[in-house]
Parts: sequence; structure tokens; C-alpha cells
Amino acid sequence: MNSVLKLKKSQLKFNPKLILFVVLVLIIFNIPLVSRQTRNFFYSFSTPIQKSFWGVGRSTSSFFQALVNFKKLKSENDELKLKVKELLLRNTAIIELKRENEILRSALGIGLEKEFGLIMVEVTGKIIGQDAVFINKGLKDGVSENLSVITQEKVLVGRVKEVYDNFSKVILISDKQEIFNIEISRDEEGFTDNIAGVANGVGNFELSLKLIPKEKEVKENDIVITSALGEVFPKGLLVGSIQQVQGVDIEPFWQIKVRPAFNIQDLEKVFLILKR
Amino acid sequence: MVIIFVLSVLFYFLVLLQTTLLVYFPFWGILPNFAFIFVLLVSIFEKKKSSLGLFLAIITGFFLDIFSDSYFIGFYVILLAAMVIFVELILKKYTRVAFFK
Repeated sequence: MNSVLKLKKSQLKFNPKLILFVVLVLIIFNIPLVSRQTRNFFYSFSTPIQKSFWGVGRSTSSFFQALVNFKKLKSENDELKLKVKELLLRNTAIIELKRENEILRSALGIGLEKEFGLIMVEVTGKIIGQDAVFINKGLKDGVSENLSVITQEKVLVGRVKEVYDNFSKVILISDKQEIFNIEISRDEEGFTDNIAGVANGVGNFELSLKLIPKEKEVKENDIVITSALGEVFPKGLLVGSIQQVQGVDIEPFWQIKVRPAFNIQDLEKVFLILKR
Repeated sequence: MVIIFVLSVLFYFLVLLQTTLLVYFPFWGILPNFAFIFVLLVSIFEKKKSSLGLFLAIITGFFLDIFSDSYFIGFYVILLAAMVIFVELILKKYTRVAFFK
């Protein structure tokens, strides 16, 4: 009667052999091939459930947010209407500039940069303990590591970190492991020189900026975009806006907090950039 | 065994909720690990000589390892098992609380 598990009525007796059994099982699960297949199996099995819960979470969260923010809704709505009008006017000017740019390029014989190839994917859940999410496409769909991930509005979300057969893990830009080059831009007359710096994820969906010298003028609500340096992400993707600027006397650089432009609670369908 | 199976399924769904629904309801910007909390509660309130908490720690730890970016499969298993053993050996043995029998 040397069974691994002994049962006595409603109680469970612990057998030391169980420790050995569990350790052996864990060692087997940590063999790379077995680990990948196990994770892939569980992700495949869990995706429909995760998708449902993710959708329920979004709608429930929106409902409660509407209740809580009811009073602010009208003023926020008025502000947004004004902003939309302003942006529509600006958009008209941009379209005209774009047209002129194309004409000039063709006249000078400069080829237009090819547009990105994109794959649309769905976010199915968040990875526990990390600023990272699961997406529902993997190796079989042409996904590879380090592909940039953006939203429909060209807001930078992160990059693909691990790829399985049918799923992938996307590490968000706010994760502690993420560090990449950025530029600070401001939509102001006379502001012509974008400020170069480095963005570093600090976890909990927050970002900070480094190496911005105090000689440079930086304000709250300045826009942060990706730069061409470092080649981690394509240039010109929206990262976020500056939330807080602090200066410590003994340090030569600003301490800047950035509000990421993406919101994890709004992530549903995102795009992978296949080529630059 | 039926109890273990039912609780395993429940904790599997709890881990899935941890990765999805609960992300939308953080507490002051922090998302507690409810799987940890419930395993701890089971280990505190279970009967003294029962090992249900330990079995749940192993199973829940495994699910947490699958759905997180842990260093290796077994990281959360060891963590939860250590927590349950601590409760079993130290807390229950050396503290006097009415509900520990």
C-alpha cells in the first residue's frame, strides 16, 4: 500500500513521496519543448474563456466608470468637441502639406517610404505579475519576436517577446525591461527642435524619461514619440504625454513621468508591424 | 479527491479571472493576487491535519506559472507551498486562535 496519496475519510494525508513526484513533474515541465507545448496547450484551451472574461471586464468597467464620472462627462464632452474642431482644421492643413510633399518627392525622384505591413490581433488577457499581454496569434500566423505592436491610432503598445504556435506574449512599453529611444515634441509655434531622450518602463503602466538635460525646456503635456535611434521601434509612433517634470538640484537631468497613450483596459484589437 | 478536483477547477478560473476581468478593477492602482489570497485562506481555515491547502498550492502555483512570466515552471508552486507550510507548521502550531482546531 505504498500509494503516493493516502485518503482517510475527508482528510488527506501527505506522503513524502509526493514531494519527489512533484519535483520530477516540475523538472519534466521545465524541459524547453515540454514547457512550450504545455503553455501552448493551456493558452489554446483558455483563450475562449479569457476572451469572454476580457470582454465582460471592458463592458462592466465602462458601466461603472460612467456612473462614477457622470458629473464630469458633460464638461469633458464639451472640451472634446472643441478639441475635435481644432484637430479637423489642423488635419486639413496636414493633408495639404502631405500632398505638396508627395509632389516634391516625385519631382526630385525620391521614393516614398513603403507603408507598414500589418497583422491584426486580439488581446486575450494580461500576464500575471508583469506589464505584458497575451495575443491570439503565433508562429502559424507569421508572428515573430520583436515585432512592434500598435493600436489603430498608431499608439505604441509594446513588442512581441515570446512566440508560441498559436499565441504570443507582448511586453508593454511600461514594463520594467523596456527601454527605448524617444523624442519630445510640442505643438507650438517656434518649437522646431525635438528633444531626444530615453524612455524606461517602471511597471504598473507607467513610464519615465531619462537623459533629458535640464538645459532643455520640457513642459507637462508635451508629446513623446519614438525616434529612429536604437531601432527598437519604428519612428514617429505615439508613446504618451508628459505627466510630471521634476528637477533634483544635484542631478543634471530632469526626472520625468510619462502617461502612456495606450490604456490596457481599452486594448482589444491591436496591430503588429511586419516591416519598416 | 472530488474536493481537490472541484477546487482545482475553481482556482483555474480564478487565475483566468486574474488575467482578464480583475485587470479592470485594480484597488488604488494595484491588482492583488487573489489566487495567493484564497490559497492562504484555505490553508488557514482548513482542519489541522489536512493537506488540502498544500495540494491547492501546488495546483494553483502551476496555473500561475503557466499564465505568468515566472522564471521557471514551479516558481509559484514553491512559493505557495512554502507559504502553506509556514501557515501549517508555524502559525497553527504556535498561535492560539479560536478557529484553529
